[in-house]
Amino acid sequence: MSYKISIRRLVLDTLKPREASLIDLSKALCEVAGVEEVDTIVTEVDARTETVKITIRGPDIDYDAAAKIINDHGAVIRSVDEVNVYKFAKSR
Amino acid sequence: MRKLLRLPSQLRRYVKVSGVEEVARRYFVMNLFDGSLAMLGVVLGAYAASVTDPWVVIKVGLGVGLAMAVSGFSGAYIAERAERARELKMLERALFSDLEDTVIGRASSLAAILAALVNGVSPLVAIAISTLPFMLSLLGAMTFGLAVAWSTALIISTLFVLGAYMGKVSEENVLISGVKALLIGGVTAALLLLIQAL
Repeated sequence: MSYKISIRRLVLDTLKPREASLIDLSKALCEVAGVEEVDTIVTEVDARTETVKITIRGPDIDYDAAAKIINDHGAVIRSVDEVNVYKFAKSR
Repeated sequence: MRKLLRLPSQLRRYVKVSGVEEVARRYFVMNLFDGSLAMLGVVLGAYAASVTDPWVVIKVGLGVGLAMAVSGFSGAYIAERAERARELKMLERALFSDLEDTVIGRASSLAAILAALVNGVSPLVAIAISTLPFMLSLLGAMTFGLAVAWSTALIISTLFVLGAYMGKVSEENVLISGVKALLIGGVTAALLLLIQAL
């Protein structure tokens, strides 16, 4: 029986320039395929940068697309801190 | 096509990210002021030199305008690009990442061009305003002497509006700010008229 593994939740530790808008970044991430909800929390503020914890939830998160959006906003993913995946049978 | 339609919102986003609005406003006021006073020099200088042909004033005005536009565009572009590149490099060092192909990098390049465009175009606005009476004079709508008076009045009014606008930006008294700019124009005009006495 064939099955698929999907990402349902991701917690990313990112560093972004202060100029990049958190609202724009969150909205752009919410537009990614398979994403339903995005939480962003600024955990540290420096002179030029902000450390942001991003939590992405959805039925089938496209990680590569999400990473591309984050990088396009000038932010970098420092680490993937939490992942939730699940397995389900593919319907034919 | 969809990409093309998204351009204005993208542009707005880059303007917001780069913070170029404030820089552009400063450049616009600075160079419009510059252009206005330079044109005051041209108009009253021509009057002092007993020029009576409106074409001469228009051509000299265009010459001054073109030189100011080229100088404004290139000067602002070089300075703004260098400053933005420096800021981007500092940010890249802080992030340990290349920002060239990101919103920040693209906004940075665009900001230099936008600031340069505003800086280059603003003196042309002053030239267009101040040469208008001479164009009318060329068409026979008014005498040369009247064109000089109208042009001077228009330039000084432009200075007043600029001063008032700056007063609005700084949330201070609009009238006082406008009068201050008006005085600068008045003093310049008085100094220029002294040339006639030479």
